[in-house]
Amino acid sequence: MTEDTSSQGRPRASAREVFGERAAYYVTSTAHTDAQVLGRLVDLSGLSPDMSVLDIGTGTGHTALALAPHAGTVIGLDPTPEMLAEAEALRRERGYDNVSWMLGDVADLPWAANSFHVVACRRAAHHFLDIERALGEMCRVLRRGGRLMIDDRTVPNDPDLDVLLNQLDWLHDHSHVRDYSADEWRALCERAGLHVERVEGYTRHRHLSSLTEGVSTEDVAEIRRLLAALSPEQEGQLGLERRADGLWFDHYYLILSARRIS
Amino acid sequence: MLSEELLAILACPACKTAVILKQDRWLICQNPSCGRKYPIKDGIPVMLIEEGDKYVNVSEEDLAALDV
Repeated sequence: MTEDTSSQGRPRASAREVFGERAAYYVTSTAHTDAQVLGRLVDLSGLSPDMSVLDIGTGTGHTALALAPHAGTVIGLDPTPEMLAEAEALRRERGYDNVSWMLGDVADLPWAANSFHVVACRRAAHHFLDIERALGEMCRVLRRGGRLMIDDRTVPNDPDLDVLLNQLDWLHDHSHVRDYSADEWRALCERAGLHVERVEGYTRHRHLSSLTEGVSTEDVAEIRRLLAALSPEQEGQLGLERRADGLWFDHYYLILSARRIS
Repeated sequence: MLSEELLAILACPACKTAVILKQDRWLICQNPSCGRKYPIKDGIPVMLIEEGDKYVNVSEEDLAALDV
């Protein structure tokens, strides 16, 4: 496995390796088919049938296919061929002929400037090795006035929880880079030439297994150790519950919409 | 298959120059000093720079004979 040790001393696997192995799991993962979140993205997109959409890190295509009935054309981009094979199977099942897929990297997007009315990126930005470059590319391919929509895991403005939640996400998935706070997202967007219209935070209360499924025994042990070491105050912040079937706690997310102004 | 509309905005990920479609199997960067060529595999264009790098020194005429 290719490893990058530049990230706070933790070895990092490439997203392509991790998601090649997990492609079939992501088709049915509850968090990733969340109809409410997809519906909110559709509402915020302001799409009309003459508009073009680029969905970055499309994975198995859930976001691209949710936007498809409201748009003219949709392209889903992902670096992992196994994910796009699943996306194509879903596309055929749902019968959308205005959606196509491409293999590519957010750091080097294969489009001319000013190409898309909407760029969406759902549950993927925390994998990007260089978030500023990624946002620069997303902004470049957006038309002036075009809209960027991000949905991703996030962290509250609390330094200890920030470190903890990012550690948990790295243990869950070694291609994890960083969950950014809402304030970080605002600053990143503004530096990229985007005007942030809206940031909506939300949480999902989930069983521990949502983090530990498919994870090595050592990493599961470390996840359990980190959760056992939480202070009562932190347990409260995470809504941690000890139920008969195990630990449940809140995962933080945000949806952001921004428009290209420059 | 790639529509005219999608082809019109597609560009080389490395130099952002327009690409043209050849034999429905290759997307070729039109910048002579770039020369990257991107294959379409199972109907999906592989627009990764490292993929385009592989065919820089393959002439357009020789692409047809390649099994990618």
